[in-house]
Order: sequence, then C-alpha cells, then structure tokens
Amino acid sequence: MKDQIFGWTGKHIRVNLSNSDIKVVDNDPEIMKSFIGARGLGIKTMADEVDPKTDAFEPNNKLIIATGPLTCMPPGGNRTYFITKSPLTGGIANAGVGGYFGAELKFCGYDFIIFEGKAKKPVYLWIKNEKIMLKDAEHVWGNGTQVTEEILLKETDPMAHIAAIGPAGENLVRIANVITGGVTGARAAGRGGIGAVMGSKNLKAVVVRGSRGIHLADLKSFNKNISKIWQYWENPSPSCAQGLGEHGTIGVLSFTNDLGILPTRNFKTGVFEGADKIGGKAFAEKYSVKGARPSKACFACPAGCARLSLVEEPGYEGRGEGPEYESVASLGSVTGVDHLAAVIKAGRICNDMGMDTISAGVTVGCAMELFEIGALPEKDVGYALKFGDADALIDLVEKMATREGFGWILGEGSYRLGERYGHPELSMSVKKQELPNYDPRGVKGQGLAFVTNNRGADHCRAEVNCSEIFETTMLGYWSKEKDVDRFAIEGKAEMTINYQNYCAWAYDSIGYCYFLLMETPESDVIDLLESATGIDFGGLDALNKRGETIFTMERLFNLNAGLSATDDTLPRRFLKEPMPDGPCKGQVFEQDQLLPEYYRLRGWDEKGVPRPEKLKELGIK
Amino acid sequence: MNQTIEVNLEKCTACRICEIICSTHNFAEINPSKSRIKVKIISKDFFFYPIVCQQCGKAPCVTVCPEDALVRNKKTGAIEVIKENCIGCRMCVRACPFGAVDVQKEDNIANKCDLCGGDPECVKHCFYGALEFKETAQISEDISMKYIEKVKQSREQEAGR
Repeated sequence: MKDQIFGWTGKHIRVNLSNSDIKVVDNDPEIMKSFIGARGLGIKTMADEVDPKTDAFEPNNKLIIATGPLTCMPPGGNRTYFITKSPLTGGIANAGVGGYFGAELKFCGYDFIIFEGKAKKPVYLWIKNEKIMLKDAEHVWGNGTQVTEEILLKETDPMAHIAAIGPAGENLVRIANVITGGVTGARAAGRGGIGAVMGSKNLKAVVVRGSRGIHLADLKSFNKNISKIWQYWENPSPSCAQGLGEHGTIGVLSFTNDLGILPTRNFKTGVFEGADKIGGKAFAEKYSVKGARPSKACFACPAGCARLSLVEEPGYEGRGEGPEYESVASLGSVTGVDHLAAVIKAGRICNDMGMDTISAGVTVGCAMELFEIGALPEKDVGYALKFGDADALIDLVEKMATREGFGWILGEGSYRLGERYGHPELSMSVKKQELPNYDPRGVKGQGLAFVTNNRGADHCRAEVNCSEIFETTMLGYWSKEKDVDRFAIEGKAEMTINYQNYCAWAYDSIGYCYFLLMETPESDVIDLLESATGIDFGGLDALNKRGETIFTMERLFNLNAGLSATDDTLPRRFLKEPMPDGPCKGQVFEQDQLLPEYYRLRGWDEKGVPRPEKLKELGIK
Repeated sequence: MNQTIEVNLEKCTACRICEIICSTHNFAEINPSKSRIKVKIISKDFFFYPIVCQQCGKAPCVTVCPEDALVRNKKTGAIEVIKENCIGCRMCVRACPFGAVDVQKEDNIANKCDLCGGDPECVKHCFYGALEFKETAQISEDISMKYIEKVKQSREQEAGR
C-alpha cells in the first residue's frame, strides 16, 4: 500500500521521441522533497541526464516541462516551467509560464514530462488522463500558435489546454518561445529559446485535458492560509499590486519612465518622450477590451493582470491577449516606436510566431543602432532602418520568425547580429540573452541580478526591483519606515543573492506566481506549501538553502557547458556610458565593485567558480 | 428565502477559483471536473462564462427525474440530489437548459449546485464580484434599473441632438 501523495500527483511521463516510447513513472519522493518541482526538478534532471556540452539542438538535449506542488492552487499557483539547454545562451534555460496548462497537466495526473530524442517527423503529445499518445502534427507544422490551437483542440477536446510552438520554433530561431493559449489567450514561456529546442525535436505541441483531482494534506489549514494571503492581496501596496488589477503590468511603463529607467532606443537613455503614447492609460482608453479593469486571470489567481486588446486601426487590426509591460517596452521604447497599435501588432506577431517579445524587440533595437552608426548597410535591410519606424518594427519581427532575407541573422538574436556586423557590444544582453526593461544604471540590485542570473539577463529569477522601486515588503527590505536606495550599491550583492535563493524555490519551484509573492510574507508561503504537501520542509532557512542548491547546480551546469566569469557582464554601455539624461543622469553600473562582492558572498572564487567547501555545504557532488 | 447565484459576466476574469473552491468544499480535492460551477472559456472570442445552476422555479431537472432524486430544499431554495434515489439515468443532464448538471464518472450519480446549504462558497471567494448571491427579486430589480439607465441615456442623447 503506497502512501497517499498530497500537492503533487506523484507521477511523471517520460517520452522518447526517437522511438515513440512513452512511460509513466512514479516520482522519487526524496527528489521531490529536495528539489520540490518545476525549476528545481528541471536542473536536477538536466544535471543527472544531460551532458552540459551537448549542443542545444542535438537529440540528446532534453526538455522538461514541470509543474510545482502548488501549481493549480489558489491564490496564484499556476506556473509551469520549461527546462532545457538554451540555444541562445549555451547554458541552462528555464522559462516559466502561467495560464491554465500546468494545472490541466496535473489534473491529468502528472507533475512533469521529460522529452528526450527527436521525432522523425512533426508530432504533438496528447494527454487525457491515462491516455497518452504522440499524434501526427504535419498538418499544423508551419502554422502560428493561434491556428495550431484551434485545429488541435478541434481534434482532441475543445476544453483542452495547449502549449505550442509557432514557425519561429520550427525555424530554430534562437529566441523562439512556447505559447499557451494561442494569440487570444497568450501566455508565454518566453525566454532562452526553448521553443527552438521543441522545434529541433519536431515536437509541435503538448495538449492536455484531465479530470483527476489533487489532494491536500490538510484542507482546513490550507483554506485558512488561503484566506490569510487573500487579506494581504486585498490591501496591496499601491505602487505595484493595486496597479496590476487596474492596468495590468503595462501600467508600470509610466512609472519606469518617471524613474528614468525605461530603456529607450537600444538602452541609450532611460526616458522616452513617447511614453504617454504607449503607457497603461493610453492602452486602457484605446485598446483594452475591459478598460482599466482586470481582464483575464491565470488559473487560480485573484490578480488578473492580463489585458485583452482589440485594435481596429486599419493595418494593425486584430485581437489578442496582452500586451504587458515587457512587450510594450521592448517593442516600443527600445525601438523608439511610440505608435501603440503597431507595438501591439508586433506583440501579436511574436505570440503567433512563438517568439520572445523581449528578445525580439531588443534585437530590432540593436539592428537600428547598428544602422545608425553605419555598421549595418542599407542594402542588407532593404531600407534605411531608423529608430521609431513602426513599419520597420513589424517587418523585421515577421522576418525574424520566418528567417526570410535579413531575418536570418535577426533570428539568431541580438548578440550574434551585433557580432556579425562587428559590434557585439551593441547587443543589450548578458550571456547573449537580451535585457528586460529596467535600465540597470538606475536599479543596481536588479542590474546585478541581470549579470548573475543563470539563464542570462532576466528579471524574473530575482526581482530585486520589488524592494528597489516597487515598494513591496518582499523579503523585508522595504517598509513604509525604511526606503531602499535604488542607486546605492552597498548591501545590493547580499540582497540579490537573497532574492535569487528565495525565488529559486518560492517562485520557480513550488509553482506560485511572483505577483502574489510580493504581498505574502515568507512564513505564509511556507504554511501554504506545507499544508498542501504535508511535508515539513524545515523552515525558511532550510528552504532558502534548497534555493541556493538549485541556483548553484545551474551555475555548475553553465560552467561545465563552457560559460565562465567573462560571461558575467553587462554590455559596456552600462559600465562606461553615464546615463545621459533624466532622473538617473550621470549614473553608471558599478560592476567592478558589485560582482567581486557577489562572488565572495556566494562562496565562489574570483573566477566565479563555487568553492569545494560551498559545494560540500550544499551537498552537491 | 429565494436566493440564487447571479453571474455578472463582464466581471469574470476566468481565474476559475470558483471551480477550485467548489471541488475542495464538496469533494475535498482540487478537481474542476467535479466542480458544480464551471467556467466555460472561449478564448478566441474573449468570452468566459461561469455556468452554475439557477435553481429554476419550475425546474426541468426535477420534472423529468423518474426517481424523485431531485428535491427542493425548502429552507435554502436549492434543488438537491438525493443520492440514494439517483439511478444515474442522465435525464436531468439533458433537461437542464444551462448544462449545469452532470453525472460523476466515479459513482454515476448526478452532481449539481446545492448552494452549500444556503451560503455558497464560490460567491465568497469570487474576488471581483462576478458571482453574487442575491434575492431573485433583487436580480430583476437590478436588471430593470440597468435597462432604464440605457433607455434614459439614449433619450438624453436624442434630446441633445
């Protein structure tokens, strides 16, 4: 008689695409307890089973789609992670997504799926409870995520949920992503080129529909904990959480512009004169289906930060979920485009093609600057490529996905684009992954997180911003009585490390959304996790230690893959060019002071390699 | 008491917390397929609609049930399933105009909203007020007020012209 499992489903699926072998396997309870789920489980599997030197597109790279124990639980448990070796960075990729997909996978009875090998021809995986099968996908290959969803749901179940790649993933575009919900319900597992790995495996989509239940260890405490967390959410911090319901994340745009950290024209400055035209207010008035009100939520989430947009302007018409802040900033201010309808359309193209909006926008921004300095000849593009050109933005985003003409090199991402035209330093990236939209010169802790996050420049794996600008009480740094100086570098290395370790388990491994974490004390997150799973995780310090282990194992994967301390750097612009104007005028990013302290506090040597005693402390072999 | 769950369509965000709360309350597990309220999502049209029993006055499910397994609770006004009587014939499923009744796979017995004994949990946990527990008289009152408001506006517009 097996013990009943709570929180998790207790099983996973292993799919060998090369020989179509599908196995349902019981989870190892010890591994689940140590690595919890999602991102933790992903790096554990990658470390055990994949040679870090493997080329990302080789069949022996694996793709893990994993949920956490709180995925499918309110308030805000809905995250699913895609973990693989990144074709963009050459290191670990772990892209998270909300929506409904992960919860539905669990209702089928599985916590995660491991894909290995490569299918001979395009396939998709269809899971309905115990029924798991690979089905032919040749008829949807080449289609965007919207049409793919419509066709595959018609032939499986209209209420199923789908994670699919678009043409970008099929064409091995290094910034291709995985989209759940098509264009009209788009939620993206965005970063690191995971869509291209799916494409390299000839795996078009995964479709899930389940009717099995998830059991909770202590329903009564669980309900009590939920009510408690609800309270925090009902009295949220004004600058961030309240705005999420009202404007969605796009509301952040005017805020970052006011702070002078809204990346503009390939991060040359942090203030955009067209910010009002592409901000939350303009969007709510013109294009938001529900105005300044919550439009759509992910599974189990009270926040409802997603927006639904409807554009009727000729040439840009269409409907879609989004845009959110990162997309509008990357495709808007970074390219200098202040025409919101065009920015929304570019975002819709990205979602349909299955391409990361952040990387796509920053890559176009890079091309525009290359042209501006004369490094990119007009004949290569076909026209004069100027900042602010909305038609060029749409043209290049389309070509990037299809790899047509000049699009071939764009599809390699901004770093390889810059390299080809002799200016890799104009790629605003870390580890070849494009920067999200907070200029690091004006948020030093967040900048250090960009430098050190294992999947390359990225805001989600440590949103130090929550303390530096968003005035949330997360991790206890900011309070009404005690402000955090965003320009200061003192204490920022420690702050970044604490964010990274905490997020590695509390956000990325249990399956709980960041936006809910912002308002929830750590102890309540632990209560929720323990009442759901019935497992004593040993308190906050022990869990943060697990987070540190997950983070360090990823670091080792990267080092073994060939990355090194030389990859831990922001582009020269942020280190040498003082911010030219706005509230951050004169600021640079003091990497030479922040990074050595970071290595030291991490227990790494000066080359960024974890010291043997640190590995021993964490129990990593 | 004659209260029912009123759905305010435009406020629903499709978070489906109602499904989670319903299934944990009634079945002690998180399982939307057992939930007695179901949010139907037609993503491509931006359309979400929580389907839940309206506790009809002359309820077709009660009328067609051959075994008197559906009975109105006089106190709460809810139509409840008498499990011992239910034979799982699905007549009620077919009769319901909303599709708000289903038959559970496990025991083959009808499953429908019983208003949680007069204090529905889903309503309590609906963050944006898409679900409200209201007197039916109040519901028609509110609808008529909305209608009047619309007529008033169009009159005013005409007058302005």
